[in-house]
Amino acid sequence: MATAQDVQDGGVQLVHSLQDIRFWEIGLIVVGTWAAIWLVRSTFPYLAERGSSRLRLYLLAAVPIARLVLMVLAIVWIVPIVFNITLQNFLVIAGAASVAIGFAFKDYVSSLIAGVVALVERPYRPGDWVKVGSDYGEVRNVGLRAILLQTPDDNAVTVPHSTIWTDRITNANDGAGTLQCVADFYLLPRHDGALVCALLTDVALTSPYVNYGKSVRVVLHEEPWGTHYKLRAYPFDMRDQFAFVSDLTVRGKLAIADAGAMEAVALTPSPTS
Amino acid sequence: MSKTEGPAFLIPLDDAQTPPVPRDEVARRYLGRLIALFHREKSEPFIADDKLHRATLKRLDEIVAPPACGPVLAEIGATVGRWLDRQPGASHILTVVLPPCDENAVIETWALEAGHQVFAPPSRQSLVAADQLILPDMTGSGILVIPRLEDWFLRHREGLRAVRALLAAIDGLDRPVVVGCNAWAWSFLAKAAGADALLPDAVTIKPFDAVRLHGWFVQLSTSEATGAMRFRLLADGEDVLAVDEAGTLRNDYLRKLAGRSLGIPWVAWHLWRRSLRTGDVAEDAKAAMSDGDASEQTLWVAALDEYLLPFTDDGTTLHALHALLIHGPLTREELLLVLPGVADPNVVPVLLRAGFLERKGDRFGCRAAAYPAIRDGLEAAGFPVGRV
Repeated sequence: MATAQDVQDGGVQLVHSLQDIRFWEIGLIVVGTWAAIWLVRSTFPYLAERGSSRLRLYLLAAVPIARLVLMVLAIVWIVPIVFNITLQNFLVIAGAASVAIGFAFKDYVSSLIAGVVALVERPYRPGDWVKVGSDYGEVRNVGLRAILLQTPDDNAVTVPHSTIWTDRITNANDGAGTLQCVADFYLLPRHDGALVCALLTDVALTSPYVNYGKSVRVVLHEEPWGTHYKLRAYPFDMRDQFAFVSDLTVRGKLAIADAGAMEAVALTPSPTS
Repeated sequence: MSKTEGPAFLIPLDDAQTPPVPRDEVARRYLGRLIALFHREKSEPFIADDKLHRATLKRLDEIVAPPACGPVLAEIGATVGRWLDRQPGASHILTVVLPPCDENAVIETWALEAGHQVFAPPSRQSLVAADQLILPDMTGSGILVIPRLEDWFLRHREGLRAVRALLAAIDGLDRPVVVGCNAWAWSFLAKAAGADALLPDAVTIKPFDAVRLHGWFVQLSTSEATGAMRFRLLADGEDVLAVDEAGTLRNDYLRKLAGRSLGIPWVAWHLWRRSLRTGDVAEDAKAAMSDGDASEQTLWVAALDEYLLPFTDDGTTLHALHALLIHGPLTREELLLVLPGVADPNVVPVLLRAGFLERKGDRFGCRAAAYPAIRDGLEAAGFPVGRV
């Protein structure tokens, strides 16, 4: 059984004496790590925007990993300078940290842990297009605690990593270089369906944004009010997805008009897909 | 050295490979691109024409005659001859896919020289007209040549009818048909019209590596009109076309040129022509050279420049270049018709000024010398590219 004197000795040994702690070294490590992280966070996205599409995804994905590695290295470096690392001391520190975390920083630490899990499970990566709750956008930054979504309306939405414990994450491309885009058309029932399908297919095939390596599909189903067409195709660059859908929609409407079909107008609540 | 060339036939399209580039050139190229990532200017000109001030265009035309692409014409002729002796049951269609920027129209030139029937395309305006296109009668005897399949469509929702009708018609013919197509149009038509299924086993030119370029340039530069010519590197006076006893090139210039031009002869010719200088340049290099005949004329060869697309946030520029590679030269109106949405109408003058485009009458096309840079830029941006 440990005596009171042993416990007191252990407490003294937990943290090095102030004279022994090399504060200048800790300062250099912190500043150096901060500078390295800042450099990575500034340089990689800058290069990503000016480099090729493929390089862009790699560079953006490297930012959170590089930051995590740098921070872990800094912590591993600093801890032995401050603490006298033994198994006993480790248990003392872990216990104290658990109490603090349990009462004060539960949600914050939950997000940090979720951030590490997200780096491994990869429900999202920088450059992915994801939907979290009602927010859809490109993952611009994966931080320690949260991700930053850039929406098509140019809003920045911060979503904590802990969201992955509770909410669904819909990833439109899941790390791939392209994603499926859908242009919807709603037509009154009296028209030549085969002709409309052929015209809409040509609309997608002749779009300047279309990815030649992916298929173009037109699917339709009948509704009480008419026919719902979905033109599905892939752009070669995900960032063009909204321009692509707009292009498909504008030219699709012209093609539908040329085919003599009439677009449906919703007088009652909007038709559902 | 030119005696070591391979068989003079076109090769399967899938076998086409870009000639290798020397390692120091690769390193220099990547370093240049890395540097350009940081300080590329939007208004940076692509090719500075003042570099040609020492060698007038007239003089260059005399010395380095515009490319008739004789080796390519001979290859087409040889390949067609072999194909005509094909086994029964083989396809009656020979598809020749060529790199873009072929301003010499080599297939049409070959067809006219050989006296074959050339099937002319309809006007581009008629391709998107609402009236149903009626193809002229294609029956007959002898070889029918469709030199540029890219002239038969516009990338527009109404612009595929003619090419689809043409593909169906030539599939039903019982006479031999030679179809030429630009590689970028071929990629598009394979997707949009299933051209690769209807016209299988496409062939293309064997890439012009350093050996082939050497043979061709020696042939071009030894005409009676110009007399003996010697091409020396501006940097050290070394003879670019010199070979040792074993027939190996003494320097890397042609290897770099072959890699830079992607093995495309007309691109290599334009880059070669742009690097030539005449006059009293490089006295040091002149003094350094010890060999040579005093009666020979000397042209100085500058190092190949690395060209890059200027950085731009505006996708219209890249879309315009892509459209021009797919279609070949277009008028301004035709170009705007195939660009997405509300395209910037100033895209043509901007690209002309930057040196990427050249004007041919009322049409605008990509410059051959700019093709490698344009291809790199479009490929990096994720655009679908041609096989060659």
